[in-house]
Amino acid sequence: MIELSFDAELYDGFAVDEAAKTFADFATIAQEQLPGRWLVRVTVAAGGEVDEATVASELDNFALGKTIERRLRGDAGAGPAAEGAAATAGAAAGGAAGGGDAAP
Amino acid sequence: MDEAQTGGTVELELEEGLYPLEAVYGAAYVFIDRCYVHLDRAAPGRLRVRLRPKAPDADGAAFAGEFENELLGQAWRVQIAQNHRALFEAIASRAVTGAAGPPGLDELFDMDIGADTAFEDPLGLAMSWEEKYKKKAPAEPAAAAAAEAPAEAPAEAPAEPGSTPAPEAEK
Repeated sequence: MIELSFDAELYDGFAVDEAAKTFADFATIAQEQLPGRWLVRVTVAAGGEVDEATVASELDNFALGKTIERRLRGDAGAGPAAEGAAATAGAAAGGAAGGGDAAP
Repeated sequence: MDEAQTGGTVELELEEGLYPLEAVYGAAYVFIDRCYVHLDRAAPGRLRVRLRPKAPDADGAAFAGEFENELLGQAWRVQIAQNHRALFEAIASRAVTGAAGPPGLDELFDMDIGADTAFEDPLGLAMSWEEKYKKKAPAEPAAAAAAEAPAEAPAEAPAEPGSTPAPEAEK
């Protein structure tokens, strides 16, 4: 399992959520919301098609790219992490790729 | 700017006062096709950028140098955009206004044009040629006497600006 930590001031919450959903087909992804941070845990089952580190790194890049694009479009918001509430866990692959409450 | 390299991964620490967040985003966006880029906050006012090349044999230090150069360029662009924001907005608003096209007949009929609102024409540009250069009426007798009397006075009154001299045949 690889844990990615995103600063909520630097990463858009919706972008992180979209990245998690996009890569849900390749790994089991769990999201957790901490005060000022997003945690995304990426787990690829043994014998999976792709390397776990690669999926995690690509997800990381995807979240950054989406954050920048949303800021350029001017619709970047604080995202679901705005309240800073602790712990909203979402689980994973195969359709329930976390943070359903984060949808715009 | 601090730089540290471990394996193929390079970490840069940037002063946010020198490199605004928009510039860091801009530089990061340029590199996300070749590197895995992660942003984090090292301390208040300081950003940490982690770069890891996607190609296994790529040189991380070279990418870090390129990133720093790109960062400078992006910071400069942000500065230019801030300095010339008023000019950009003026050009954009004029372009949008011009795109509306000339007014139609309805708009012309609706315009309130009267003696008070009509435009001034100090140079006589809106006058017809005949109106502007028509023959002047014969000079008044008093004006003619005044022109002849003093010796040091000019023989003829100075011509009015915009008027044509009388043709020879009239003299």
